[in-house]
Order: sequence, then C-alpha cells, then structure tokens
Amino acid sequence: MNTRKTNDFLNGVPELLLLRLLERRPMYGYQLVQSIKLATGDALAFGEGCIYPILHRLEASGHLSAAREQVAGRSRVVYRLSEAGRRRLHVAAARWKQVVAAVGQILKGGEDGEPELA
Amino acid sequence: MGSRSWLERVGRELARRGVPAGRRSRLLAELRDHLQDLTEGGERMSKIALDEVLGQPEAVAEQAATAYRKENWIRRHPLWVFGITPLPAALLGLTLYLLLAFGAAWLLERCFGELPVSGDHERLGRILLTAYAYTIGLVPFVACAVFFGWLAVRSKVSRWWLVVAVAQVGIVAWMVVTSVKFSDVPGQSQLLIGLRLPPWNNLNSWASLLSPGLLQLALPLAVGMIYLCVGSRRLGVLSRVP
Repeated sequence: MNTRKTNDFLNGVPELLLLRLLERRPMYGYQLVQSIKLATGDALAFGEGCIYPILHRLEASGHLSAAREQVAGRSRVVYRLSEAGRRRLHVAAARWKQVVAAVGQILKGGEDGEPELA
Repeated sequence: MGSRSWLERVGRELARRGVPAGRRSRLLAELRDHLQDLTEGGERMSKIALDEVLGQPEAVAEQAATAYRKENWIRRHPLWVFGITPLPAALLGLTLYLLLAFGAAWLLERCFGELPVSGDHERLGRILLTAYAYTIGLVPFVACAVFFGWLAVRSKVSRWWLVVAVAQVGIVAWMVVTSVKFSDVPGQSQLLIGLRLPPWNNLNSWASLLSPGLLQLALPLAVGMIYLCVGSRRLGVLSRVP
C-alpha cells in the first residue's frame, strides 16, 4: 500500500484515532503510536513524529490536557481527553461513519450508483 | 549519533519556520522521549531508519509549524493583546460607561420630560448621582478585568500576561477621581471626572487602605486573582510542560 497517498486520503483520521484512544485512558505519545499500530495491524503507517504536532494542536484548542508525569520510572508527557475533546470525538466519529457509509454506497455499485443519462 | 542529528535537524527546521523557542523545546523533548522508547533495548537507529519511523525532519517541522500557525491570534500576539491593549481598553470602557449613563438620562428625559422639582425627587436624584459617581471608578474596570481574564483563560496564554493586563487596568482605575457638587440652582449640579497620577504617597496609613481609590485598584486585581486561581490548571499548559 502506498503509505503517503493513503495518509493524504486519510487526512484527519489520526486526530480521530488519538481522541478515541485517549477516551479509553490517558496515554503518552509513544503509547499512542503503539496502540494505533497494534489496533490497525500496521495498516495506518505514518511518521511517528507527526502525532506530536496534532497532540499539541488539540491541547491548544482545549480538547486535550497534558502534564509531565512519572510512568514506569520515566518522566513522560501524558495526555488526557477533556470534556470538549469528548464532544469533538463524538462529532468526528459521527462524520466518519457518514463518510464510510457514503463511500460504501458507491463501492457497492449496482444501479443506485449509476448516474441517470438523458 | 543518528538520533541526535535527527533531532538537531528538526530543531533547525522548526527555527527556520518561526516556531518559538518554548514550543521547539517542548516538541524536541517529547521526540527525545519517543526516541528513548524506540531504542529502549539498547539498539541504535540509523538516519534512514529514523526518517522512516519518525518521519522526515522537514515533514515533522512543517506539521508543527502549521499547527502553531493555526492556533488563535491571541496566543501568537500576547504582547499586543495583554501588554498594549489593556490601557486603551480601560479608557474606552470608562468612556462607554459614561456615555451609557448620559444616554440613559437623555432617554429618560425624552420619554418622561423634566421631572418636577420636589424634595423627594431631589433626594432620590442626589442618591442616584452619588451612587453612580462611586461606580464610575469600579464598573468599567471590573468589566475590563473580567474581559481580559476570560480572554487569558480561553486562549491559555501564560498567567503572567493576565497579571500584566489586570495590573494596567487596576492602575488606570486607581487614577480615576470623581466628585459630585450639588447646587440648589436647577441644572447647576456638577459631576466631575478626572485622572490623577496614582496616589502612591497616600498608602502610608491603614485608613488609606479603605479609601475608594484603593478599592478601585483592588477590585480589578481581585478579579484577575480569581481568573488566575480558577484557570491555573488551564493557563499556559503548553509553556508549562517542559
């Protein structure tokens, strides 16, 4: 699979995944990347360094909070989902389901997907 | 060596794109943590492997710079918003408050005409005018402090910017003096409003601490303190996390 093209097409998906994972429990960057890899079977490969700007943007907009904490004997920046983040997740997830359903309709093919010709 | 040069390249690219030092060091610290996790087993990663796993330094820097640019205008220009604007905003607030009162008085006169001069009306008028004169040094400035406090908490700038803004508002409030001179001749009573230099010399006695002027300074500062306390967990998170 061409990863770069996949990522262009999936613009906005990392944010959705990060919000969803943080809804389950607070995590730090490396944990988030590993969770995404594990959950998707490496299907969504992207530069791991690129998740930090997304996390910082979500933090600046109040959707996440961050604090340096000791985890397994090491200091790490742990992210938590805020109430605003939870609302954003629900909106983004609903939109994603709509997109998937719409694309699914086209891929299903058949008469419904064909334009009417004059 | 590979990871250090990779981080240095990210740092250079971030600086080239105008990302401020605080943000750069925060991102680099987290990337350093990430690299430590990646190489926990003691293995070393080549430059090519780092580019593949973490992304090209240019791409990471570009994404960070884009995220920074997308943040709101207030966060990017705190000097303008909290360093320079409070002074004119406080004076503008004062002007608006005066205009509001004069507008209301004008409207009342238009609607009901001139009230007949009687003892009761005169007493009520004097009480209202005196009360209003006292609020001139308080209401617009407290409103201003609330506005800047709300702005600081909402945009999550460093708490020091809120202190700077509220201190300016408080000092302007402290400089405002009002006085009412009543006259028995109809239409000749006067409401005097002025600005004086902050009366630092008057702070040498306990009695002076209860003066209306000092209350005008204290209330905006108290509002700022409330916003500092309530918003302390939210303020400047990005700059606080090293």
